Amino acid sequence: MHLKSSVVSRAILSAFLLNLAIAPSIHAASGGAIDRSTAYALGLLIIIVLGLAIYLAVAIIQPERF
Amino acid sequence: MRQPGGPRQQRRHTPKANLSDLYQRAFKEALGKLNPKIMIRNPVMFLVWVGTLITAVLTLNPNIFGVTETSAVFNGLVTLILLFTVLFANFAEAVAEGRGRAQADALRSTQTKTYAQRILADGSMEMVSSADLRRGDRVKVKAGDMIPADGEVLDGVASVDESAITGESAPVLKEPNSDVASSVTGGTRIISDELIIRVTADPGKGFIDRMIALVEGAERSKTPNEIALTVLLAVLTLVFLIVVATLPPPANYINSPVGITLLISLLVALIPTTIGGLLSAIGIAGMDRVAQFNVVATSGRAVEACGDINTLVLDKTGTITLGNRLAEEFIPVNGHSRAEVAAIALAASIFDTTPEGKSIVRLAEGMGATLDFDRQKAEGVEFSARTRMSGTDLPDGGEARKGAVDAIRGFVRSRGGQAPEDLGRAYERVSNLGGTPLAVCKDDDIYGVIYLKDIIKPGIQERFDQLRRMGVRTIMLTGDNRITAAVIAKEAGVDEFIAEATPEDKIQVIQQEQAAGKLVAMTGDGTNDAPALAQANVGLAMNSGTQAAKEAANMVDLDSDPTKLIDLVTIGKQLLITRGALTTFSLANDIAKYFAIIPAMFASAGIGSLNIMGLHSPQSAVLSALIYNALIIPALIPLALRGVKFRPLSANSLLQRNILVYGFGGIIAPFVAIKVIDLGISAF
Repeated sequence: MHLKSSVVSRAILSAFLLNLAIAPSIHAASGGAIDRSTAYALGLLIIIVLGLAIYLAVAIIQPERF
Repeated sequence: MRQPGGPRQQRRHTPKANLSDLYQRAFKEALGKLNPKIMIRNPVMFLVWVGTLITAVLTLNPNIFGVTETSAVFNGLVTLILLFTVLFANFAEAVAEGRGRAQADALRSTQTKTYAQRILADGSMEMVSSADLRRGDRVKVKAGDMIPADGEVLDGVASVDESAITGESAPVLKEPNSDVASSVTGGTRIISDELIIRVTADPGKGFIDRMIALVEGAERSKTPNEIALTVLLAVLTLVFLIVVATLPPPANYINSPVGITLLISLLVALIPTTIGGLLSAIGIAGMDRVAQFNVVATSGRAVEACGDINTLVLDKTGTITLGNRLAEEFIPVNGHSRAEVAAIALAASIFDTTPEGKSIVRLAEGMGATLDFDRQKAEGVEFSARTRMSGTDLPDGGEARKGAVDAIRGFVRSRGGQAPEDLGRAYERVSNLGGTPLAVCKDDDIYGVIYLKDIIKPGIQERFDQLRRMGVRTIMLTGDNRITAAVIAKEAGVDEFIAEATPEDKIQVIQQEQAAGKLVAMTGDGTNDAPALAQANVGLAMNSGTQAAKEAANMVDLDSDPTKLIDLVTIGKQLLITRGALTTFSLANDIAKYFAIIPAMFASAGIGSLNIMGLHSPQSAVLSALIYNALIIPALIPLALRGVKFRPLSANSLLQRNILVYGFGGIIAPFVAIKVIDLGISAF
């Protein structure tokens, strides 16, 4: 239980850290059309979508775990 | 020994489950299942759940991902509908689990802590709680006692009331060293005499414990079929996720940007939420149906395997024919009269307590035959597998015998006599009628043949016809001679038969069929059936059978009715068909949802002609599609729990029928429903 909580916390922290790299790229690519907070929100959304895609891939490869 | 007592429907089965507050409890559990740790086990619904969280954020701040046209109210409505979609799916699973749990509670109520007299190594007794008994312990139980644990009878003969687990009120005779009466179940009550029992299960691992764990779903693991379907659903979900995630760039290119709420709505509408939400409920309900049939399965895998069975190996007696053969006619030979045959048959059967023996006595007495000796001074000779005959040693030193024709022929020869020529003709005549011929003799003279009529169970031919239409082959095994077996096989409508079969033949037949790539089911109750039960893909042991048979099988029938194997094949097929039908329906639904949401998403791109349903506005179109998507789950819960109505058709016919009903219906139904919901929304 303790280990699982730690895994979730680590995943959330990693997502935010990854967003620190993605969000500025989005902001730069938009050419200033979107503000910084929107870029961070979009970055987080992209990470969530990527996370879901990885999760579904795991469900396909190891279905007995679900 | 108890034979299955009358029509199954007329019997009270396992204790009745209390389903009064099933739905209230299920609703509470549906809320509890929103826990991400639980949600993550269902890939399709987990995606909907994540989508619900994102739209909830968009409700609070509609422009968090950039300026969009969707309002907070619209986002809020979508969030609410998505939340209900997830709750309905959780509710379906909770209802199925709740039914199982209620049944488990009812079973648990039959389990009471009891005390028993344990026999110690020095022969003395000590009173112990049933919880302290271990496998291998010996206990003594007497009339009125509850049997403390599952076990094997070592000594004594007693009547046991098994109604707590079987619903059958008639007591069952238990005795040691018998293939059909030597095992006892913990929780049943001994009502006469006493027994010495060797405990065969540790506390918590007994028969009722296994049944509770099964119906409660505690030991439920995904079946191979469910795993395959989970993979298919995950693949479809991933494909739609990729499609929807890559939609914004082309949408922006055609100057028709799409908001995140609409993208999530499209994704939820396209992924197979209906089957994703009902999948586990279908599996749990399948197990529940088996348990309601008074059959304990060791796993869902066994239930599912029933649906894939190609070959059924069935014993003739008890499965195809009624257990008791009855004397129908006396056929005289060797110049004797019918009355003489009746008199000798009566003399040879007077000590025979089997149903067959009693029927011979009845028939002879009906013909006016009487005993011409003092019964008290005569002595009965029991039947044995070695001699294959039984009879009476008469007071005057004469020997009246009845038995297998070959055995009687040998007996007469040993007494210096000869078998008459017309004996063979009488034997063939009875065999050709599908009956069992028993020769009757006194000393060195054969008097005639008794025609023991085998009664084929009513309706069995129709059942085999159904099985044949489903593509299931039936093989009958019998100890009878080849002619009798052929007649019974023809009358009953089995596809193949093996005459003069030994228990070893069973395993040989199963291995041959499996080598040809077939899945085989069989029933058995004796210790010598155990290897074949273990070898078969579905082995159904009788509850009245030995512990070895029950442990080797993957299913145990509490009613000890071998015909039930045919019903189990039906239940297994129904489970697979229900899953297939709802998957087809779920996927076919996508077409209508696609026509509702795509025109709404790209309304500004001039694709209004795709709005073939004439939906009122883009917002009402999206909401209608999502409401339909949510409501179809609870609407299909009864079907998922009850199962699709089973029809005995071939695989191809079933496929065509299901494609027509659930495929074509799955395309049409949402068009109608979405339009009706849209009319309702636009009226506000």
